[in-house]
Amino acid sequence: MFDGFTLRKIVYNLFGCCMILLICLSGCKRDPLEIGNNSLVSLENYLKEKNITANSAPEGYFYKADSTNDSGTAISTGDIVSIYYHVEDLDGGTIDALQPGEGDPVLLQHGAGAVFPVGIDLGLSQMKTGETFTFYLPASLAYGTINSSVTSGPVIVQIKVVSKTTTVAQKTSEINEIEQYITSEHLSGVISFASGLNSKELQKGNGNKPQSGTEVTFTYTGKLINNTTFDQGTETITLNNNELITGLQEGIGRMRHNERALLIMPSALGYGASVRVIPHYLRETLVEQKVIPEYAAVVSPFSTLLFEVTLQ
Amino acid sequence: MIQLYISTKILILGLLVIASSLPAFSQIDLQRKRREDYPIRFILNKFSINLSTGYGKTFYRSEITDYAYIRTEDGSFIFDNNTEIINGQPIDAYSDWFSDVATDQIFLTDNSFEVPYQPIGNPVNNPLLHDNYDLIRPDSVPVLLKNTGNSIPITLALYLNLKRVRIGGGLTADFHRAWYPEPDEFFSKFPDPNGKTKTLMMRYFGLIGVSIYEYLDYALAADLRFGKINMGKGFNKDVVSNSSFINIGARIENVFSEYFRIFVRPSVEFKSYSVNLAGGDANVKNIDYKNPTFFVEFGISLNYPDLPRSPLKNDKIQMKHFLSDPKSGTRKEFRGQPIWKKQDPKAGELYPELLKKKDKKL
Repeated sequence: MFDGFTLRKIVYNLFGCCMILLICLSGCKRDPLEIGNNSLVSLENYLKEKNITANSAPEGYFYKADSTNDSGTAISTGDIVSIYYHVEDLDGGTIDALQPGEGDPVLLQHGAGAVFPVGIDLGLSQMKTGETFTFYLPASLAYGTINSSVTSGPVIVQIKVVSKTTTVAQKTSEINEIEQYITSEHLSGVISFASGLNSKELQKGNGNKPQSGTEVTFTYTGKLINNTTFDQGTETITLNNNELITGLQEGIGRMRHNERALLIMPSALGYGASVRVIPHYLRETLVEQKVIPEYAAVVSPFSTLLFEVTLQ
Repeated sequence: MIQLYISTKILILGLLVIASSLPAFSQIDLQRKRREDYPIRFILNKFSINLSTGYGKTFYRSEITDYAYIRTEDGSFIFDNNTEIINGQPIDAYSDWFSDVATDQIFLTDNSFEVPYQPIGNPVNNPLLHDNYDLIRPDSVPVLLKNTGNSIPITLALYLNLKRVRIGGGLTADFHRAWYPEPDEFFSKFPDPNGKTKTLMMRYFGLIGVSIYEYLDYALAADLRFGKINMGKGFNKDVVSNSSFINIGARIENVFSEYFRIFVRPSVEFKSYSVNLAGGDANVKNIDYKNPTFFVEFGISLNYPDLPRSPLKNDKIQMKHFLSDPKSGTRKEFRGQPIWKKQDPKAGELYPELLKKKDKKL
């Protein structure tokens, strides 16, 4: 029907149309190409470039000992560790730091899934008390899994382990702290219970004690031992249904309706190890991104808590 | 056989001699004669019939202020934004609000680890931190729901050419697939099992256009289509009411001859529709969508020839020409070329490749 030239012309023009169509299609929304950020490779390159000899851990990070302490005690799972730290990115930009002379070391519990970034917790298992190590963490063990202002690449963390303690010793230490608080605040009529809970009646109640398994409504103000208020509100719960923190559940169970009381409890009856977040200011971001629970944004690890409670 | 061939050649030559010896017609005379000789062809020639196909991308958008959007492992839902989520208590929600109305009840678990409730073990990255849903509520700003749809349109259009102006109409069968809208920049750990809807949309339209510019074998035209859309079985007519549409497009045409051209037509189409969630309840708000579409179509355009093909089988004369009927003696104009070739070409225009070959030989 068509001669060769006409046919060729039609084919060329249709081809042109298809090309225009393809160009238009290629302009449509497309998922951005994920550029593989192999931070492990970039870490290896970094170490090679800087001529740093570091050991490799099976979890994917590198470490080297800056100072060792043969007489130190190795860090074990469940230990409560006091550390100083310095965190920076590969360009040397400091992300967060706490050095000796800048304040007390921070407390965290090792191996309890209560430290962010998780690489710090993993690295502690290599250390003894009194030692200083430098860890080279890939993004996946640092801040690469969250969306934040902090670098999403690898980081360098230097940690100095000051000391370690057990949960029992920590609780004893906090009970001593509570006793000092009671003395310094001249609180009278404080009843101490075996659990470590301390209760002071602020206003006498006029009803019965609530029965276990019944619904109770109470208002509360939560404070730290430095009198900083961290939360307040009104809640309705089923008593002894393991909804509340242990200290509050015990304290409310001992109160009468319409009573107002001050409950002082060690962290073991509150939020215990909570979550140690480095740097501290990332806590709200991590809560928003469901990386840590809400309480961890307001209660630091091993915080003694005070609750002023009115039972309705 | 050879005799027949020779006799035909002689006949054609004879006719040409006769034709060339006759006085020349002016263009006006030619037009008049054509109209007189082929009145129906003359009228039909003023019409162009177009057949095209291509690709279209539709962008669905709706801003909701009265509903919250939620994604669970069972799918996507919207529900009254004033409804509070209480653990274990059912919520009346809409499981379809895009192409139909379907209601459902959803049960949500709100995992809260706030003060003064109990802590959890291994708190960092604990899966329990995640609720069994992802919720977006309109606060001070509405929630923008958006997604896209793909179209493969097949369009048949007919228009009358009045000098540069084109007036006509047509219909488009649009094989359309649309994904359910979700909030802008939304990410959920739950994939949407409902996903998409398929439908065959029909467009019935009138069109008005104008040929803007012609250069060599190319022409640029613009046209406007307007009409109604039948959204097809994928959209429930009882609850979905849609507006008419306006489509503005530009046509880049490759003119093969006065009867045949191919074209590419990018265009944008504006339209909207509404899903009636209310069902007569004044307290319930409808969901309004805007769904503009961007099309790129390519196709062919044909005009019915104003002259018939020469009755002589071997007549390949490149120009339109007259033939006399040997019996009646009447003279009529014919064309010797097929419709996709220029009927009155300039020298070498029909076979430029031959000229090229000739140039090479020289």
